[in-house]
Amino acid sequence: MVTDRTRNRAQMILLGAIALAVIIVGVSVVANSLTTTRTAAPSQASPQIDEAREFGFESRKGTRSLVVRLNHRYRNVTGTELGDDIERNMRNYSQLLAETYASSHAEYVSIVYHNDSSAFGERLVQSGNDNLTHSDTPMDLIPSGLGSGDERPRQLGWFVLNVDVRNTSREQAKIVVENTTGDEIEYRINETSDSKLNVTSEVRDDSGTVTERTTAICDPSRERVLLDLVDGTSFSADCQFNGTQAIEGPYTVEVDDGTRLVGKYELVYNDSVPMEPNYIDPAKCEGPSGADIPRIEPCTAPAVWVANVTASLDSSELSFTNDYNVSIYGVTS
Amino acid sequence: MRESTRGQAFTLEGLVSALVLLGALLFAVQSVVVMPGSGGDLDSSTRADLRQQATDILLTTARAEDNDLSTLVRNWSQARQTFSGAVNRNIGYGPRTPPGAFGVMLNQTFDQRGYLYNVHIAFRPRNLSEGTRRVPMVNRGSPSEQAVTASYTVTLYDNQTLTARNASQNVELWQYDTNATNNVDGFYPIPNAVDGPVYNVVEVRVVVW
Repeated sequence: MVTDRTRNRAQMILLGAIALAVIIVGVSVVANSLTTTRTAAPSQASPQIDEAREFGFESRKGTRSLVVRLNHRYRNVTGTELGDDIERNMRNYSQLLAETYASSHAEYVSIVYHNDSSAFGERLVQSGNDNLTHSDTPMDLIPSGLGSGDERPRQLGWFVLNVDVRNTSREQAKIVVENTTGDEIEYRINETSDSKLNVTSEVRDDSGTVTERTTAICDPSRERVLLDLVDGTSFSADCQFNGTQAIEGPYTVEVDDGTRLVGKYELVYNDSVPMEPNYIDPAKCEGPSGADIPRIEPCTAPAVWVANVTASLDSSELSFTNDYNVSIYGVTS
Repeated sequence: MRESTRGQAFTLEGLVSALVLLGALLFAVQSVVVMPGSGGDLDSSTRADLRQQATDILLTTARAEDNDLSTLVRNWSQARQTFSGAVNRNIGYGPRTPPGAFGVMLNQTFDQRGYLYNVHIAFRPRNLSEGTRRVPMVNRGSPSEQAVTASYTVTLYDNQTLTARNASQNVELWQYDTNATNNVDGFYPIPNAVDGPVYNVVEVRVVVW
């Protein structure tokens, strides 16, 4: 027998079924839309963006590494010859990069060096083993020009000293690096009693107060120690001291008691050095006549300070061409 | 008569309810998205994530102060004629973890989450017609069809040296021989590809599956 109560129950079944159906349909729509969004999102980011970023970073790093090696490769080349050498080697490097990228990324890349748009600095080199002396005392590697009306200290990009420990005196030789505000770093270098190399560095402010002092004992390899005075380390990294970066450039560099120190050295600074009184006035080792200059004589040669290059990447989804300047020694002048 | 009509109405209501529910269920079942990973394969989202993670590991290592990619590529043992600390030349480090932060990152990112990976060095031979060659750094088997690859380009220079602990720091890359059986000059499988200071441009490839 159907009563009002049972009729109401039957209508509730219908209403409940409709409500349940709406919930099922709604949940399925939401769940599917979530899944679709999750699947689609990552595909928006193209891996080629990462590859372009990698190429941008590596092309700068590669240019710097290659040019610095070519700068220090020969002693007697002219600026034009050096430029031609860099162009030729950059072409080889660019071709290797292009082959590598084409084989795995299906992309074309190239790097072109522009010698005319690049900035040159100068390299002062004594490539033979000898004292750090000259007829002038003290010897200025980078003259201050103070009082001459042409005060032009230089930004220092490279200062490497290859010390012959056995022939270096146990008395201290001094190298003083000073900036225009009067801050200075004094390096005192001598052989120790156990045939190692002592490098003591003192940083002084413009009032002459010592703000930092380090003493490093460097182990020689084949009786030589290679010092990087810009970074303040030996190349074997067994001794650390204050680098010239401890004070801000531009700098002047002076050697005192250079008869006590034996070795080879190489500096690279921006622009050319004017001939000053009390300056060693090195010969130009660039060009064919430079080959006749004895290796123990300091001489100057061109070096690329800032290289201008064009880097291009061409792929199915991304293409760009960047023209940029690469600071070879990481110093902006 | 009235009760009979009501009975038919209840039956109809019940039928309609059942149809509504069946329709909703049918709609829900038909509209379920079948993901590519439902059969155990990697779905496209996971693959994109793995590729990004492998790329990030390579980028981080390439820019590291110590044990960067160039250092790892030159970490070659003359005594064992494989990478320093590796199992052998065929599988490289194989089940072992490569040295430095590179190995730690690969281990934490892939090993510990149940993924497999290979790492190999692709390089250009002196003669381009020979095609690209490769040296396995980590070989853990054949990648599946869903494997993803990330790579990073590294430039080697003539005056660089091998970085293995016992390698001579006085022998530069260009002085090594690529012939494994000639031990006079030492052996390094990657050749000097071009004249000039650049030695070769190699690619470190990480394959994950």
